Amino acid sequence: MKRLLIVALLLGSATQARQIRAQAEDEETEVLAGDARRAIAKQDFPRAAELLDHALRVNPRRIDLYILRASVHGVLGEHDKAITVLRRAQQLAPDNDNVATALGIELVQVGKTDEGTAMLEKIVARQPRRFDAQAVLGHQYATRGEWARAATAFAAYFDARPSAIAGEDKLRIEWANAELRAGDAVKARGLYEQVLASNKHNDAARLGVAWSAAAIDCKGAMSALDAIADLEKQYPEVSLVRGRCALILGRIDDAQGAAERYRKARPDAGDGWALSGDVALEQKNAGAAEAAFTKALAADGKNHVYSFKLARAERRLGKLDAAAHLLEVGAPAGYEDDWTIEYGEVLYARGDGKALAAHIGPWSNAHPDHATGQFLTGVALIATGETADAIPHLDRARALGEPRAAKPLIQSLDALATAAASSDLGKARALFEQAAQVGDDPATFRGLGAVLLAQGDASGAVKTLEKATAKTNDAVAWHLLARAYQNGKAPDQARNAFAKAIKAYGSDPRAVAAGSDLAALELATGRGEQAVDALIAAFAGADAATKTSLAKSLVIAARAAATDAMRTGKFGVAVRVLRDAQKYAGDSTEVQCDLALAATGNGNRDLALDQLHKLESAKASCPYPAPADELAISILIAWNEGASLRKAEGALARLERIRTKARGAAEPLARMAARDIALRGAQEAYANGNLRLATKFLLTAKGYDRNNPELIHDLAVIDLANGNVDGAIAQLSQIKDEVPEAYVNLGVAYDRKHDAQAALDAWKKAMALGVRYAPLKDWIDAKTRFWGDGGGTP
Amino acid sequence: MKLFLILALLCTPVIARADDTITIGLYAPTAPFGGTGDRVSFVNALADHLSSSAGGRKVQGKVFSSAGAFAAAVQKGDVQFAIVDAPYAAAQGLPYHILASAVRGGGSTGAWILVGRAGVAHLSDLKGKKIVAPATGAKQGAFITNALFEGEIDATFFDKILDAADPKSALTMVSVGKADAAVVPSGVEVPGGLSTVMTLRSIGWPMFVAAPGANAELEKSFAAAITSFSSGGAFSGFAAGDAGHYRALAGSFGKDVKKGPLAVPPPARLSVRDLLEGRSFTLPSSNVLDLIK
Repeated sequence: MKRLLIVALLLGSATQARQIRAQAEDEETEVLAGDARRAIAKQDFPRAAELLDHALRVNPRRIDLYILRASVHGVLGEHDKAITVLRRAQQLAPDNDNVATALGIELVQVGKTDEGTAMLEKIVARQPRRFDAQAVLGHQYATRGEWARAATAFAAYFDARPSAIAGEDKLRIEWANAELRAGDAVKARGLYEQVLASNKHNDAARLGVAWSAAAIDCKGAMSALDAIADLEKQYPEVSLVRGRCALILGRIDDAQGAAERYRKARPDAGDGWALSGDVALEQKNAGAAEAAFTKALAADGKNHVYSFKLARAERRLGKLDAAAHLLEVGAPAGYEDDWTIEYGEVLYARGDGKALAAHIGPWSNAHPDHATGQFLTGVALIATGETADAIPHLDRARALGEPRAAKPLIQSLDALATAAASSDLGKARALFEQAAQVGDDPATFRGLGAVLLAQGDASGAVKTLEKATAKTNDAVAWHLLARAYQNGKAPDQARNAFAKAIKAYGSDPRAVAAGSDLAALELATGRGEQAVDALIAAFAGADAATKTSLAKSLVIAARAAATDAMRTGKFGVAVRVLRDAQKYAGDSTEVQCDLALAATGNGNRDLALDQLHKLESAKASCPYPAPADELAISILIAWNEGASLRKAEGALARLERIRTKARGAAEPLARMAARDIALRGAQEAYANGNLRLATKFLLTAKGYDRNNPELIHDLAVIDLANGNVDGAIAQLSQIKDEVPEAYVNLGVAYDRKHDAQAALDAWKKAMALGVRYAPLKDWIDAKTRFWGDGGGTP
Repeated sequence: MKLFLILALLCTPVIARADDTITIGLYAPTAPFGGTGDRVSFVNALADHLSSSAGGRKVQGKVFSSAGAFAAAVQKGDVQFAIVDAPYAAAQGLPYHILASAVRGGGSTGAWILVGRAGVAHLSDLKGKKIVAPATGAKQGAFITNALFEGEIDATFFDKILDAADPKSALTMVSVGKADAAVVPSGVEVPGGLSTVMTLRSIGWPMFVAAPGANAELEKSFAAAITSFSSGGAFSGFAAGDAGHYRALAGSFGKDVKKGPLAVPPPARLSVRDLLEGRSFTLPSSNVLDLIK
C-alpha cells in the first residue's frame, strides 16, 4: 500500500512538474531535476535525493522539487525529513494543494493521523478527484472502523485515479471490505469478484465473496462457503462464518461442528465458544449456553457481545440478577436494539413493570414494528395499571407475530370488559367479543356469556358458555351456563350444569350461590322439595352470614314445597320438608304454622300439638287469610287433641265456641276439624263396642257436615249393630256408590238375614272396589265354601 | 265364708293317690277308633310305654265313655294324665296342660266331613233336617254350628242334632235312616249309600294332657317319653303338642258376630286450599355479573 501510494505520488508530481516547467528558467536546475527523475525511475533513490538537494540549492523556489524531494524521503523511510521539506514548501506556497496533499499523506504515514486526515479531508472537500488523498483517507477510515466513510473514499479514489495505476487488487479488496462492513454486501461481493476476475487465486477475494454471500443470504452462501473449504485450515474464520450460517439455517449439528473446528483452530479465541453458546441457545439448552458464553468471556473479557449473550442465557436460566448485571454495562456496538429488548425481557421476568415501562417505552415508540418491543411495552403498561393503554401495544405485538402477546391482550380486554359490565353492557360485550377474536380463552367466554345473559340473550349465552365449559371444567362457566339454560327454558340441562358447577366449585364459597340459584330454578319450576334439598346442601359450605341468607331462602323454599304438597294432599311430604327447614333455619312462625297444619293433615298429632302450643304461647298469628290467621291455632289444637276419644268431647265443645267467630278460610277449617274429631271419636267408640257414644259423635259430625255420605253410612252401620237390619240396608243401599265400605256392611246385613247370596255379592263388590277390610276375604271364602259360588240359601 | 271354703274344697283336685299308681284316662268319643276294644288296647299300650318313665310307679290305662265320669275322675285325682278329645277339651276351656297331640296319617289334625244320605248334595239340602254327630261331651251345638260350620248356620237351621257314641255309630244312624247326615272326623269308613257332602274345618286329634295337679316330674318325663310311643291302631303315636291349634278351636265355639267397618275420612282429606289461597313463593337468583368480578 505504502509503495503503491508513493508511486502514485511520484506520478502525480511528474504531472505537476510538467505544468510548471514553463516557468523555470534555470537550466541547471532543470537538468538536475531531469537527472533526479531518471534516478527515481531506476529506483536509485539516494542518487535522486542528492540531485534534488542540489537542484533546490540552485533554485530554492521550485515548489515541485520540494514535493519530489519529500517523496524520495518517504520512499527511504525518512518521513520526518519529508515533513520538514514539505512544511518548508508550504511556507513558500501556502495555497498549494499539491504540497498540502503530500504533507497530509506524510503526516498520516508518521502516525499524526488526526492532523494528516484533517488536511486531506480539506483537500478532498475542495478537490474530490484528488485520488491520492482519497486513497489515504479510505485506508485511514478503515483503520478507524469508519466503514461507510472508508467505502466512500475508496470509491472516489477508484473513480478518479489514473488508469496508469489500475490493477491495484489490494486496495480494491480493502474497498470491498469497507463496503461489506458498511452493510453493502452486494456491492462488496461485486468488488471481490472483480478482483477474482483478474486473479482467481486471490484468497482475500475468495473469502470476501463467501463473506458477502453469507451477509446477503446464508442459504445461498453455503455453496460459496463450500467453494472455500480449502481455505478453512488457513483461515479458521471460514468455520466461524459457516457455523453462523448453519445456525441461521437451523443446521444445528453443522453449526456445532463448525464451532468445534474453529475452537480447535483458535483455542484462545472467544468467537468459537460464542458460536457454541448460540447453538446451545438454539437447542434450548440455556445451561450449556451459559457455560459456552462464560468461556467466550474468559477468552475476551472486554467483548460486550459475549456479555450480552451470556446475559441472555442467564435470563433463560432464571438468573435475572446476573443477567441484569451483565447488561447494565451497556449495549455492545451493533447490538443496541437487541440489548434494549434483552434488558426489557429481564425487567419483565423480574416483574419490575415500572422500570420496564421506563426502559422500553421510548424505544418502543421509535420502533413501532418491533413485536417484542410492543409486547414488553404492553405488559409494562399493564403492570403500571394502564391496562387500556396496553391494549394497542399488545394488539400490535400480536399482529407482528409475538406469541406471548395474546394472553395479556385477552386478559386486558377481559379486565376492561369486566370493569365496564356494571355500567355499560354494550361496551363490555364489545370488549369481550374483541378478546374472543384474539383467542379461545374460557375467561373471555365466561365474561361474554355473563354479559349476554345480563342483556337477555340466553341463546347467545348458551352458545358462548358451552365453548367455555368444553375447554375447561370451570365452575363459574358451569354456573353461568346453568343460568343460561335456565333463562333459555331448559331446566333439565340447567340442573345438570348446576350440579357440575357445585362440584367444580368444591369448597369455594361461590358454591353456595350456585346452590341458591339451583334452588331458585327448582322453585320456579314447581319443584319445591328439590329446592329445599339444594339449599340444605348449600348450608355445608356457607359461612355464618351466608347461612343467615340461606336460612331465609330455605324457609321460603320449604313453605313453597309444603304448600304445593298440602294442596295435593301430600301432607307427609309437607311435614318432611318443613322439618328439614326447621332443622337448618331454626324456628320461625311461618314454618311452625305450616308444619302444624301439615302435621295435622298427616296425622302427626304430637308434632302438630308441639308446634301449636309453641305458637299459642307466643300468641302468634299464622300466615293465613283472616280471620284464620288468629283462629287457626286454636282450631288445629282442638282438631289434634280431639283425636283422643278422651278429649274429643272437650275439643268439640271448644270448636263449637270458635265456630261462631270463624269466617272465610277459618270456617271450613273449624267445620272440618269438628267433623274429623267427631268421626274419629265415633270410630273409636264403635271399635270399643260403645254404640251409644259412637252414635253421639256421628250425630255431632252430621251437624257440621249434614250431607256427608260417610256420615250417612256410619249411622247406618250403627243402626245395623243395634239390630235395625232393614233400616241399615235401606240407608246403605242409598250411598253404596259413594262409599265403597257400604258394600261390606250391606253384606253383613244380608248375612244377618241369612241371605248368603246377597251377602256374598255385596262383599265381592266391596272387594272389587278395593275396600281394604281384613276379615272380608275369609267371609267370602267361607260363604263360597258352604253355599257355593252360585248361591243357595240357608 | 263357709260357702267359699266348700267351693274351694270342691274345686281342689285330689292329687296323687296313696298307692302311687298313675292312671291315664282316655275320653275321646269323636276319635276314629274301631270300637271300645281298640280304645282299651291303645290306652293300655301307652300306659305300658310310659311306665318305664314313671320312676317305678305303676302306670295303668282307663277308658271313659261319658264326659261326666271322666270329669269326676279327674276332679277326684283318680286320673292324672289323659288322652282327651279336642272338642271336649276346647269346650271345657282347655283346663289341662297339653303335652302331646295324637298323630294320624302323619298329622296331628284332621278335617271333619259332612256325610249325607242319598239325595243330600248341598248344605242347603239339610235345612230343617236331622243330623247326627259323635257326642263331644260338652257344647256340641256350638261345636257344630260355630266351629265346624264357622257360624254360617245357627241352631235353628237343623231340625235336630242327635248324639252318637262314636263316629262309626253316627254314620250307622244315617245309614239306617235315623238321621239325614252326620258330621264325623275324616278317616272313618263311610258306609255304602252315603256320600261326603263337604269337607269342614280341621280339628286337632286327641291330646295327651296332664290333669291339674299332676306331678311335674312325671309331666316332664312323660312328655319326653310319649313321642317315642307307636301304635298300629287309630293313631300311630304322638307328636309334641300344639296348644295354639287347640286354643283356636276353643275360640271358635262362640258365635261370630260379623261387624263391618265405619267409613271415616282419612286425615289426608283435610282440605287446606282456602288457608293456602293466594300463596306464591320465589327465590331471587344471583346477579350473573357478580360471578365474573
